[in-house]
Amino acid sequence: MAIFRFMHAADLHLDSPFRGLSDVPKPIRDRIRSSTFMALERLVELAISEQVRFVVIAGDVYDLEDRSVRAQLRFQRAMEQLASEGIEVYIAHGNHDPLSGKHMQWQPPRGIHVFPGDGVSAHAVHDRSGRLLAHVQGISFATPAVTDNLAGKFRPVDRSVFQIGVLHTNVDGAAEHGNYAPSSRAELVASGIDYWALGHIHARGILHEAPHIVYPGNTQGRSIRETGAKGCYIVDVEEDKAVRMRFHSTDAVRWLQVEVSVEAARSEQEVQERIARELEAIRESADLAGRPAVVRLVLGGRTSLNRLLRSSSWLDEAAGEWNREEGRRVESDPDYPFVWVESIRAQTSGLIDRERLLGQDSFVGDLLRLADELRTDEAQLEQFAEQMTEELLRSRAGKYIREGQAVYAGAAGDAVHGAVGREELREWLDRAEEWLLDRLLEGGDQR
Amino acid sequence: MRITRIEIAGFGAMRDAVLELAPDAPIVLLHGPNEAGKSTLMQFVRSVLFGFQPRSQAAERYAPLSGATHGGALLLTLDDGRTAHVQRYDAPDAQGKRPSRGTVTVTLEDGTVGGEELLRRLIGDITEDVYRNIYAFGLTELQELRTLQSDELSGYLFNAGMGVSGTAVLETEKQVAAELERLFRPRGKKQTINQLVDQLDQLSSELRRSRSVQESYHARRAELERLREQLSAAERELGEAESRIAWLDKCLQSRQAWQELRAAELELQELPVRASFPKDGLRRFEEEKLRLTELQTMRDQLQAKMAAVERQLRELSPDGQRLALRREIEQLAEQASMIRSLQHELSNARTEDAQLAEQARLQIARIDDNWTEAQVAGLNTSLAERSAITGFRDRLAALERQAETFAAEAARLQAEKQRLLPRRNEAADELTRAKEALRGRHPGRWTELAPDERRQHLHRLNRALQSWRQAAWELAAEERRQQEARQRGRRMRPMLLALAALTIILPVGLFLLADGLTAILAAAALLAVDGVLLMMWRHQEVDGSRGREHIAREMQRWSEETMALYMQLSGEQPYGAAEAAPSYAGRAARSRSRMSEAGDAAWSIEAAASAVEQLELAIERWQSEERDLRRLADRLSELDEQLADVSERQQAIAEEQAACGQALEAGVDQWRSWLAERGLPTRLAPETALELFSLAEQAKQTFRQRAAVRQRITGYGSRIAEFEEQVARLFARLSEPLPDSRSAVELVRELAELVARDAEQAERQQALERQWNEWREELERTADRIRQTEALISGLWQEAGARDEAEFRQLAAQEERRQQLQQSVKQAISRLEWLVSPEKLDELMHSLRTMGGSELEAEHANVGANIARLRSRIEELRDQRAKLELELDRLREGTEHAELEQRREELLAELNRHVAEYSVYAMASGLVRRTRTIYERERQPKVLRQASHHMAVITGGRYVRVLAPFGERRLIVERHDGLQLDTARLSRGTAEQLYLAMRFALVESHDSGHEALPLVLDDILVNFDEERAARCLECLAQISQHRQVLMFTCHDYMRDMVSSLLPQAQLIGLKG
Repeated sequence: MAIFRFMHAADLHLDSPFRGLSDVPKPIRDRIRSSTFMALERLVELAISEQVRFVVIAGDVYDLEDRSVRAQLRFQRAMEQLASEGIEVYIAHGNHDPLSGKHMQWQPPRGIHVFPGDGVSAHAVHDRSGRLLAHVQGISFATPAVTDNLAGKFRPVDRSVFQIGVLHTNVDGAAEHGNYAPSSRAELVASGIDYWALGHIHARGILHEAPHIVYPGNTQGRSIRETGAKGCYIVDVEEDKAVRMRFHSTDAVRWLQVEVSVEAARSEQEVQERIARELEAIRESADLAGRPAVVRLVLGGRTSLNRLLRSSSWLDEAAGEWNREEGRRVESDPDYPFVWVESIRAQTSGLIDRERLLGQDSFVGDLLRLADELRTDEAQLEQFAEQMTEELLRSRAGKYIREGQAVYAGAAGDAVHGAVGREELREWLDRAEEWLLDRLLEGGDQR
Repeated sequence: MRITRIEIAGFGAMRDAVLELAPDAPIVLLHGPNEAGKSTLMQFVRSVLFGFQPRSQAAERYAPLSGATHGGALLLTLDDGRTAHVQRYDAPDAQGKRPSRGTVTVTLEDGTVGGEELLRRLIGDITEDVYRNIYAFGLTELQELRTLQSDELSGYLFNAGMGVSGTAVLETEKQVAAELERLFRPRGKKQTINQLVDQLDQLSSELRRSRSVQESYHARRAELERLREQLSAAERELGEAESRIAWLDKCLQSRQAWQELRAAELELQELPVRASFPKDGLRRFEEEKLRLTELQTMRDQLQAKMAAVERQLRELSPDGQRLALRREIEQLAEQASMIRSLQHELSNARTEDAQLAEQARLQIARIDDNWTEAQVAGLNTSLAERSAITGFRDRLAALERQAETFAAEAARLQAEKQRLLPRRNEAADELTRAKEALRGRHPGRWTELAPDERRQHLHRLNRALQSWRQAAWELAAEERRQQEARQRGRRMRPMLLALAALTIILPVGLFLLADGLTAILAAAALLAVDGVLLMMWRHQEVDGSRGREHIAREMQRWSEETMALYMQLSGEQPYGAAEAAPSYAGRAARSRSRMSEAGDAAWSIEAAASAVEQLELAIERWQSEERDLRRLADRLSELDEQLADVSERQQAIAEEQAACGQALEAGVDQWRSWLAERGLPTRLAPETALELFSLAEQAKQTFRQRAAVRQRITGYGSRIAEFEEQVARLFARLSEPLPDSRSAVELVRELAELVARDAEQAERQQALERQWNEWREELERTADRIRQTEALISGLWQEAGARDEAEFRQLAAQEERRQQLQQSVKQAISRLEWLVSPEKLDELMHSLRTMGGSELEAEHANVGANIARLRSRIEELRDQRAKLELELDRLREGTEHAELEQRREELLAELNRHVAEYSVYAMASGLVRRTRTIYERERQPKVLRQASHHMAVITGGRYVRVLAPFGERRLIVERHDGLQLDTARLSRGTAEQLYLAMRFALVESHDSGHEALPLVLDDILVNFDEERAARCLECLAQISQHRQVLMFTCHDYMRDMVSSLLPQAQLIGLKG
């Protein structure tokens, strides 16, 4: 029997732009644009319908860098709505919305608590009859770049009742996120807090149980790096501090990466059909429940069409054709559950006997051996890529490229080709190799 | 291939010359002074192998100067040792044409003759150009790099071993470069990435602006607050100005009214001051005066009407006594008509009474003449009595019907008895006759037996006969067998004897031969066998005779048994089959006598069978007759039973009849006594009694009607008498004599009319009196009012201080004027009050008093201008406010900023896509470049490696490597210190050495698959220093191991060097 129930959400990133899409028709773009707000609405509805006692939000409600007045106002309205329902909210600010940032002036209504930045503050939560249910403590980021260990400042107030810690932190320095307020799992486990309501990492994860260390992930995916269902946790706490968690998706648009086999496909037509079939299957899938989706398709398998598929223009055209149709449908029916193709990537292989070429004492053999060498040595590959694109990176484009890659890496100031970038580098290398083979062996008998 | 002889018919300056070349000398050095024909020889070798130069190039064609035949021949030793003679002349070929390259004839050792094709086969697919450049060249060719760069050679030089064509690599590199160019250039404008970056820059600045706008949200909100305050201040000011101008408007509007007010007030002050004048005095006076006149007239009229009424009253005089009794009189008058009709009813009732009395008399008479009315009335005719009568009637009728039924049944039974009796007698007679008939026949024993026993006996008899027959058959069979046994016994006897002998001999023998015990055992065994056989034989004999006797005995027993049984049944002896039997007794005696004889043939089986059959037939017939007899007896007893039954039933009916008669009598007695109880004549039948009851009922009805009529007569009489008495009493009270002559009814009616008249008069009298009284009261009131009015008039005069009417009227006129003035004052004030509220009236008066009309107008104009100014200011402020509000709204809900952010993201996405593309091409470019570097460094073509080797040899290790940059048609040499030099930077000699090394390498690499063509070098070492020339000869020596080398020189030192360094070389001197 649960003695109380609360909601744990984080990383709302209201009104932040979605990344990695271009040439999106307005109706679709508007729906994706408003997805973070929709997620917020669903969050509020869910809190009310689930009759949670309170809500904890572990940072990054909005990106102050974006300076969206709209985002802040909408969030304030949502908080007022929750307050009017008698649901308390505990907010810890994170690196994207630190207290030092330009927040709009706002007098939070009764029951909406924002944790201070200068030290952990604790609130006692009572039930309607005045019985003490739990302590909720937390701390906000005072400045955008907090590199202190904030987790160490948490102390259980009263071990006899449930202790909840709300913090925006990077546990054990997850590589793909900015290492803010770093903490260690061991430290959190030993802290005496029963439930660590964390934020910052956009991928959902339960790092530990009893005590619970939980990342609910963000409430709405915003790029192809943030795929799958996004939402929040509804947590039931029982008398003996046992915790039962249910994930609820709140995302209004689902981002997906799907692999499609074009193994042995014989014609362009066939590849297009397989793609269309896969996309329709996504649209109809129960998991989506009528949500629109943004999809990256990754083609795989051995096919004689490899050369064609590897030429990005064909894939772009295929994606464009599909997207145009989706755009038309959305034009006529604004609520149409579109499936927008972010891109189609080919990881196919051709029927060229690469192994044979690799063994040859020839120019092509040398080339393939060189590529293989780069492929296996990341440092060398990075150096190579940097050397090759040096001119570009040094130019005005450089800062935008770094920014784009930084976004993917999740934090500013990473290496140019960060952890996620390496994957991309290998893909580029593959494509370069395919392209060269195609050109060099053109007209030859070696394919 | 080696050239062993050169035969020149005519070529240039040379004619009919033959040079023999040593076939085993690797190097042939031909030396001689200038014009000795060295170059001609070299050209001759080229020409024979590849054809003359075209006629257009006369210098190169070497046509003979003197008319000798143009051409000659080469004798070749092929690599496989065969010889070939190749001759080429400028002569017509087989087709009669005369090709410029001349006509070639190849004659092989084996006699094969061919033309160009055969020659091509011998020397391989090397073109003349290649041959001229790398096989047979002079200093001119050597000094030109170009000669190495022909397409044909470059393949060897640059691409060999690459696996792909160098051009493909170059082409690919070009494409990569183009793609990269298309996407990006460091300071480009049109490239995709550059354009995107430009857009991003632009967008970023927009975004910065937008962000600052977003940030200014608070400042703008504050500004909005300030604006709102200003606006409300201005609005307040405007409000004040507007109210001021409204006031001034009112002042101006009310000015006229105010002036009127002032005038009226002044006139009022001038009027004489009176203490008081009654309010509305004149009007009131006039009214009172008029009223006084009216009242006086009214008083006179009233007095006249009262006098008239008094006259009328005197004429009325109603009778008071009669009026007092008015109620009684009127009641009696109302009854009068009813009394009259009662009298009529009374006479009718009397008539009816007489009629009913007569009817009753007649009805009684119908019942019984002697009966009185009282008797009839005393008879109980209730429903119970009537049902008792019907009860009697039904019971008696039922009993009578029952008696009739019994009588009919008795008659029927009598008739039945009469019918049955004759039939019974007939059956008895028949039975007697049948019994007698049966008794007369068959006195057999079986008749004494019960049918079961009879059947048993018959069965046993048949079985005995059967057994007898069986025994007879067995006896016959036994006799046959005995006969056979007797014959067998005769055959067995000798065998027994032999066995007996053996029994004796064998044991004795054994005893003698073996031992005693064996002999004894054998003897015992044999004896036993003998015994057994003997027994068998004997037994057979005895058994046979004994069986036959036994069967004969059996047969006898069965015969007797059959006889005994037959006797038991028939009670007599059976008779032989053939014999006729006169009597039973006789036959029996005879049969017994035959039996005693035992085995008499007369009592044979056949006879017995026949007798038994006869017996069975007799028994059957007898049984059938016996059954008939039994049936007759059954019928008789059945008829007897029926008769007894009928008699029994007749008796029963007779009893019932008697009982019924008694019951009927009892019923009649009861009925009579019932009648007697009620005093009715006893001889009445129930039906008649019922009728009598009905009649009595009718009579009783009539009695009841008459009684009712009589009652009515009495009632009517008493009512009429009562009325008459009342009338008499009335008259007594009126103290009037009751006139006898007239009926009470009439009297009453008359009286009623009189009293009605009296009542009318009394009513009229009262009404007149009431009227008179009213008028009198009114008269008094009128008089009062006249007095009051007069008092009022004099009061008014007094109040006004007037002595008479005329004075009063003068005073009244003055008063009226004052009031008019006061009214106009009031009107003016109310008009002012209508313009301004009453509270503000004083203020208004003050304003009007203090300000003149022009002053007011001046201020009005002033304030109006102020208002216009304020209004435009407010308008302006409102515009600003609306603009700010809109802006803030946009900030709150607007998507512009978000759109910019989004657009930026999209541009970044697009940029990244193109960057990815660029990176792919950049990597491709890098890959190719790196591979090329590797290739150039580590995988130079064999030719270059070989050339490097030769170069190193020739230069004594100063230059270690020859390189061909990838895909480029140029060469680079690398010095021992690693410095790479372009050929252009080499000294002439070194350059020549390089080219020579390259040629050597090419020649070596060119061998595979065809003849090793001789190398012909025309004085190429002239620019070499001694050391390098020597090293070069070393190389040549090396090369000459695989092919013939012809060297031409005009230098003696060269000849000496060759002869000293290459002793095996053939030296041929040419004469100038």
